[in-house]
Amino acid sequence: MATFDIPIGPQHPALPEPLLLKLEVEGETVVGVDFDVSYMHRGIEKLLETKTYFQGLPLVERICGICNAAHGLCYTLNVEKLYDKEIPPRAQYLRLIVEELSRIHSHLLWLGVAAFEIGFNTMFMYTWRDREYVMDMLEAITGNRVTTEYSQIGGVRRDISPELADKLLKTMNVVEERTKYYIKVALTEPTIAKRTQGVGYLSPEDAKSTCSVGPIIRASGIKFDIRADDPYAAHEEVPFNVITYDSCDVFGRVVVRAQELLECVNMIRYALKNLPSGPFRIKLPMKPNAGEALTRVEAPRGELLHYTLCEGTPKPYRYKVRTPTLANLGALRAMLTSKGRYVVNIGDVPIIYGSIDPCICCTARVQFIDIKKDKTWTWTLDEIRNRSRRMRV
Amino acid sequence: MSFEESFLNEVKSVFGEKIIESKLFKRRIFLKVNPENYYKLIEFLVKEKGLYHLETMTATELKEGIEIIAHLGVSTSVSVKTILDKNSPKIVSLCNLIPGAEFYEREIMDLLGVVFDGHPNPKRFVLPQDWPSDIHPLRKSFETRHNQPLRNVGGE
Amino acid sequence: MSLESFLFEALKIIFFPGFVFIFILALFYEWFDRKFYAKLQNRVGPLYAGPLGILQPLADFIKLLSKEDIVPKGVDKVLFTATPLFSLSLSIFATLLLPIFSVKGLLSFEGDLVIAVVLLTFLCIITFFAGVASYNRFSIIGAERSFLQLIGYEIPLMISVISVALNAQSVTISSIVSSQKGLWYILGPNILGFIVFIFAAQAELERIPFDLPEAEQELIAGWNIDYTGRRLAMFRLAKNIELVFLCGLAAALFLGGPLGPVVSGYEPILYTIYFIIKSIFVLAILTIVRALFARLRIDQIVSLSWKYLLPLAIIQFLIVRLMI
Repeated sequence: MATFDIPIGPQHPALPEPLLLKLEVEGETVVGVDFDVSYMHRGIEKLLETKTYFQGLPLVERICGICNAAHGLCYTLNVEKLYDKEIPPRAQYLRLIVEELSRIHSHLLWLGVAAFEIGFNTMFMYTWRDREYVMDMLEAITGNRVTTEYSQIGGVRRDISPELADKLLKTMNVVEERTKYYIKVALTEPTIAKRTQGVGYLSPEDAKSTCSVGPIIRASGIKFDIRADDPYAAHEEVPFNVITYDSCDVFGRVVVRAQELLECVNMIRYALKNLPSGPFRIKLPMKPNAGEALTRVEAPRGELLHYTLCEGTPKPYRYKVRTPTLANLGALRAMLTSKGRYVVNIGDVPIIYGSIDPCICCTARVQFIDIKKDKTWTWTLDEIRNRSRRMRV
Repeated sequence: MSFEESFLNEVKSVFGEKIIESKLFKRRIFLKVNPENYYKLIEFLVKEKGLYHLETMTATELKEGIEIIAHLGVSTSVSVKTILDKNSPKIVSLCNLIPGAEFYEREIMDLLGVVFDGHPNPKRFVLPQDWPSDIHPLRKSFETRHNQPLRNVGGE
Repeated sequence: MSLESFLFEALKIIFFPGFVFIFILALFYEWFDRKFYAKLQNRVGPLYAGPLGILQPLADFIKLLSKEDIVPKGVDKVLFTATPLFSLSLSIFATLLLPIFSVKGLLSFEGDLVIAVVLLTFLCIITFFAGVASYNRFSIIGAERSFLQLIGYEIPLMISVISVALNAQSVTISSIVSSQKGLWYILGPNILGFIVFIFAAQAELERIPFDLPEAEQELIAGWNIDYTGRRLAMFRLAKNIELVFLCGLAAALFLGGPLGPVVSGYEPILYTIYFIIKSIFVLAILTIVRALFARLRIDQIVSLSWKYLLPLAIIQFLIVRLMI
């Protein structure tokens, strides 16, 4: 049978990231795949060399819109290693809270995107609506919905007041309840099971040899979580379980991410109850000591790595960032080619791609213009929300 | 004796003087070797010590040459460094040992112009396909305000 | 035929229940579908054009008509132009068979149920030609899928329709409708057939979970990827009219069509209202199905049809056969 190439991306409704998948297709079956990720090289590593460590933070936060909290945290932890100063424990706890909140929002977002990839728009709408609770809390804590820039070199930017902590605990109850509902839906809905079970198979050996990270490798049954293996922030003190699942397919990734949501909720509760008192930020000088530092953080999509080489100047000599998606590309290729173990249909490509977690940005407020009446008005989020059915906190 | 020190001793008992330099931090080990021992050390770490996970590979242009670092490890991160000649940087590829190294090596190939011997798929990766092959953006000679001529990309 | 009765018939075909009425009904059904779907998903749905956004489908239609009409290089120009027209005219023709204002449709004749079912298949074949004509990789795969899907759902659909016809001992829609004066077939022995019909209709209309030929995440727009402007507007209108047709057909075959309690002298008006209520009930079921499921894969659709829909349809047929 003749084969022909199908380009998926860099502009495609299902794949919001500028990645070109060149699929070699035989009828409906994928027989080969090639990548091209060269559409968006932004030169951030080079740019970081021209900025001081303190100026670099806003830039690092903009590497990724969704795991910006993880990027900011990784950057600050990394730079702090160059200083030899103790960071106040309260700051570490607050960092953990915001990081886990952003993990909840990212996983909820992913659940929605995954549902969208298999054409289950209703679940997409539901998860994204419930994600708004978390976005609201992020806004209340950090002042921003998306690029939070909460973690600063030497601590965090703001403290959490007791009232806010109460509100956060209440929100966690709602998130927990909704998450349990989604887990129920994802585990029992027959079409979700049909579209995800046995799809995108990645054996534990392949997961290891392609150096995949995050929920991908955990869904292949390997216990690998930076929060447990290489604890940073307050992860040494806050108890949690590393979730693994051994089905090695997209279904396993759904389960792992959904169960992780519950873990995150419990971690936030524990951290809020055991929040140490004390300062939340210390001042650090412009110039760090010479040396090198390597930090790993478990971002929502997996292990995030920052490495820096400092020569004792305020600017880094070299700053290296490795995002989780790059690490998972090899796993993605293994899933898509599958080496004859099972057949990959074109219809499976979006969900397999989606299972390594793509990322899109969102806007906050909507503006309406009525040309005839010549009037412009803005809806706040609350007004938009009042128009849709919603559970009250 | 901490875990890092005992780990270093075990490595040194096999490689001895071949480890030129070593630095220890909490859960971080930095080892420096000559290019000819680079592959052997990594093979030892992967096969004997079970460090299956290649976190990433970093390349930096130093004054004395181009430094390649392979960061390995699951819990404790072991970074193997080696310094290559600046004019014709060349080193053996890790892809046979760790298939996951492919993308990291291709990235370094693009950004610093290091040649990896035995790489299965040495194609452009992060830079645009029509980027000039002799310009490597992470070299220190590449200026950030480099005047790139506007390219005509075709189309209507 | 006198001039007056000729004019009367002409007005019937043009206005009610002819082209204009079908056009309005198609847009209204699209609006209902979108609004109800949005409500099920906690969204607002169409809101600004007209009260509750009821004019949104019309606005979309006019917008598409005013868009640039692009004919890409390499397409089969004849097919590319002809398929939207065929699709629209066939779906309108099919809708004229429906009994709307009386037990008889505007074009009622002996054996029109057969023609109605054949037209459904034709509409799918036109989809295939439309996809092949545009000569795009995605559209060819979409066209292939629409044919594969047809293999899956067509036979169960036909058997479920045949068992209704067997029950009424007729292949004429009007006599099937009038045979339901006592008991609607959905309440009687044909409930299984109704379920099969709903799923097959969903597949015929290419809606989730059977929207593979135009699956957005996989094929962007599938078979209609290259169609723009007027042609796309025609396809979309044809799809909406097909929606009206299938909802109306289900209402006529299983829910007693336009029958209901009437006040003498007002039959046409009441019949039309009953028809709209019943077909909107069917449409609501279709929308709920669309909101409840994820999209299936092509192999899963074919196996679902042959493993579940076909046996169900055959059981339905046997039940009806044994009862007569």
